[in-house]
Amino acid sequence: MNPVTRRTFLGTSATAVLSASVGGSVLAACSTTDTSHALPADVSPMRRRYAFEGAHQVGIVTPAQESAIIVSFDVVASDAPALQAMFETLTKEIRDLMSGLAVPALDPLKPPTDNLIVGVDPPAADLTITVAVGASLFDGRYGLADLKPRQLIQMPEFPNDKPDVSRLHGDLLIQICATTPAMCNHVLRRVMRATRSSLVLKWLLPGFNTPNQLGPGRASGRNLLGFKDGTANPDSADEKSMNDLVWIGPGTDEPTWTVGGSYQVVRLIRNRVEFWDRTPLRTQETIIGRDKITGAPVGMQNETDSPDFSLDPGGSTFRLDGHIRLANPRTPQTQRNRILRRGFNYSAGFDAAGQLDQGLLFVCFQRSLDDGFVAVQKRLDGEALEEYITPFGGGYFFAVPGVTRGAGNLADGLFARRGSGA
Amino acid sequence: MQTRRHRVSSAALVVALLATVGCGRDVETAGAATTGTTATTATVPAAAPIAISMSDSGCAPAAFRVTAGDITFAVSNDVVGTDLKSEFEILTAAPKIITEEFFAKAERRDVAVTLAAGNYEIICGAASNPRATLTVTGAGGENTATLKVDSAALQANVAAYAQYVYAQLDQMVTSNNALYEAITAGNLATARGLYMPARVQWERIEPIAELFPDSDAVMDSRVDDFERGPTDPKFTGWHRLEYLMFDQNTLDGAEPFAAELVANIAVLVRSVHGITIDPGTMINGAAALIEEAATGKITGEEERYAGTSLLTLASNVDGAREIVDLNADLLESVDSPLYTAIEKSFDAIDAGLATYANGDGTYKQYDTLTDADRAPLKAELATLSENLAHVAAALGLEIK
Repeated sequence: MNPVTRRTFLGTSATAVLSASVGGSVLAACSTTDTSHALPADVSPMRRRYAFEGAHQVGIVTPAQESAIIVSFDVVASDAPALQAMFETLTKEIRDLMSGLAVPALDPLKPPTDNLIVGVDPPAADLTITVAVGASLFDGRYGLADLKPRQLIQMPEFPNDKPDVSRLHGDLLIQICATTPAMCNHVLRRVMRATRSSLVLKWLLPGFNTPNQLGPGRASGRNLLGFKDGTANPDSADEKSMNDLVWIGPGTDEPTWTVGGSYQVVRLIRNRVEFWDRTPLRTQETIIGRDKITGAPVGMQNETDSPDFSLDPGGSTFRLDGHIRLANPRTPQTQRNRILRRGFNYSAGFDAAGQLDQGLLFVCFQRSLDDGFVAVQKRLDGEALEEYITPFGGGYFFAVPGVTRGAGNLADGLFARRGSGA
Repeated sequence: MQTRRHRVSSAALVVALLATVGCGRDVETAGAATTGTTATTATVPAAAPIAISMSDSGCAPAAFRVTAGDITFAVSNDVVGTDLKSEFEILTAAPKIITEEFFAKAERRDVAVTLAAGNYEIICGAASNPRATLTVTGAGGENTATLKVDSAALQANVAAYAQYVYAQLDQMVTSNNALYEAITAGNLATARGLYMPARVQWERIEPIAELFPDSDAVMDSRVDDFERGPTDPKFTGWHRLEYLMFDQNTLDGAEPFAAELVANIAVLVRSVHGITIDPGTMINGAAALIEEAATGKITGEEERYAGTSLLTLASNVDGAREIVDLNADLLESVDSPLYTAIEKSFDAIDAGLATYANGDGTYKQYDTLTDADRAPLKAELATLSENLAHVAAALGLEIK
């Protein structure tokens, strides 16, 4: 055992000593003899501290970070006031986490107030925390039935799905994204600790991603099939496009509290990667519809090229059951079906057959579930890729609007009739 | 009893940190650079180190008499019979390990402890070696500085808790004798009916019983602990009997396991009566029982063959509530909101469990509960765990 235990260490007055004099001196002392651990001079522009407040929640049009944990909960709050209290507690915790508050002095006799996974001074780490509600939250328990977003239903089983009931649906979904898995786990544990009396884990899946460095219309990240993913995604920085495709606007038939929110679809899609890896390159490319190396549509030169499928009605270049042709036919009629994808890859061990459990933690946001994911998924029914993928979990959720007031809480709109503050 | 590690002064901390960081600079120089002084060496504890040599045949010398408080041993590992690391361990007669460190061959290092008056033993090298005796006398080392409640009142609660534990042990003897007799009589139905009544006492005092890991291993191990599964000859105790009676529907081969269990209970009773329960063990026992319920019992895996996990869970909760009830006045006097929150959680769990009670002391089969049934129980147990984690600090006790 090291003579300086962590507890002894934190229990002394030396917490401040560590961050101030010792930490500084160590770095300074080391830098004269050893620069191999020095931080790069140019800190990546990805390292941002996003503000919690805004008309929309963060983590939707925010560029996708390197790491994510998507976690679904059963809500066991006893009644509507307890549910409202849970959202207040959750909002406070999210505000604190996103503001990057330093960990206060710790009492050695007490359980530490923070898990310290990211230390006493949490880095910005591009952290976003996004809260969404499932259709089941609007059942009889809390008297919220009339406030349910109109298209929010329990995700149905699609023809190629192999549902695992232990990894489907949920009353509440939290999407935690940051530059590191450590930060995501830090947030997960803080959030769960604050809400233990109301939230019970239903399922969760961590994901990873290569942030897009190439700007709209191109993708630097690849999925676990080895293909560039997200090339044709709408530009999330384009406010008009996001208003058209992603956000619930005013004056619709949706309940007014939903304005500023967005339907969120999560699909846990396993890839049969061993089988895929033994499939010939040209077959892979025609199944997807893109060149595996460049990302260009098959037969075209550039990733940014947009194919005109009407010139290939027989499917000689773009097979009729190819992925990009079905997902986005690129016709005027299908523009309204475009969705903002924000998925991650996952890798979760292996199965009883000795095959890897890897795939896509698919996430998309849209103004209308029916015009968005549901329409796209219907077109993809029977696509050639189905032989290689098995969707098994996830669900339909509604990402609640952002909080614009300092005193406001997430999902306040659900409790407007009750007034604020339980 | 105070067993906290010797505190390290900030000067020593700085040195240790720099050494850990290991950027290759001389410790003395770095220390000077950090503190702006010439003080560079690690702080030496007030009392001079006591030399002790670990050899193939134990400790030399073999007896120590020291004054309570901060004590440092200068340990040298002189074991030659093995290339493996050798153990240096100080323990109470309970037995409870105060410190356990491992030394590479020929390694020399100081081990610092803070000890109150009492009789201790030291293991040097192999655990089977003769142990040195360590007699500590004097007033130092007690951790009374942080205590926020009356020490005598707390000790009185410990004494009351010990009586509860002894009463549970008495019942354990009776209930397991009854189980043994039904098994030897070859009456499967009766034996199955007596299985759970023979389990509840252990589950109520599990944190005390588990102070004796040898007893725990032979009495309460689960099938998962055995490479060869349920027929592994080392798989003994209640769950072996449970497997035979509820999974195999037979008493064939059960009698030796039942006899061994009765004998092991007698050992446990003697062991528990031989120790002094300390306040920290009692208080932390409540939290430990709920952790146990929230991890091992809520999954249904504990009584997987009998399907009676709800009763073991309820027994854990009973045992935890007994501890909180005994200390209710003290806890309420120092942290009334915490006490109220804990009582609220206990009430909610009891009410939740009551909905599955059959009315005769048994509960519904655990596999009849749905995930939706289990979710509120999980939340209540988790909430209670969070609150119980603050009880020791509220009373000013340090949990080892």
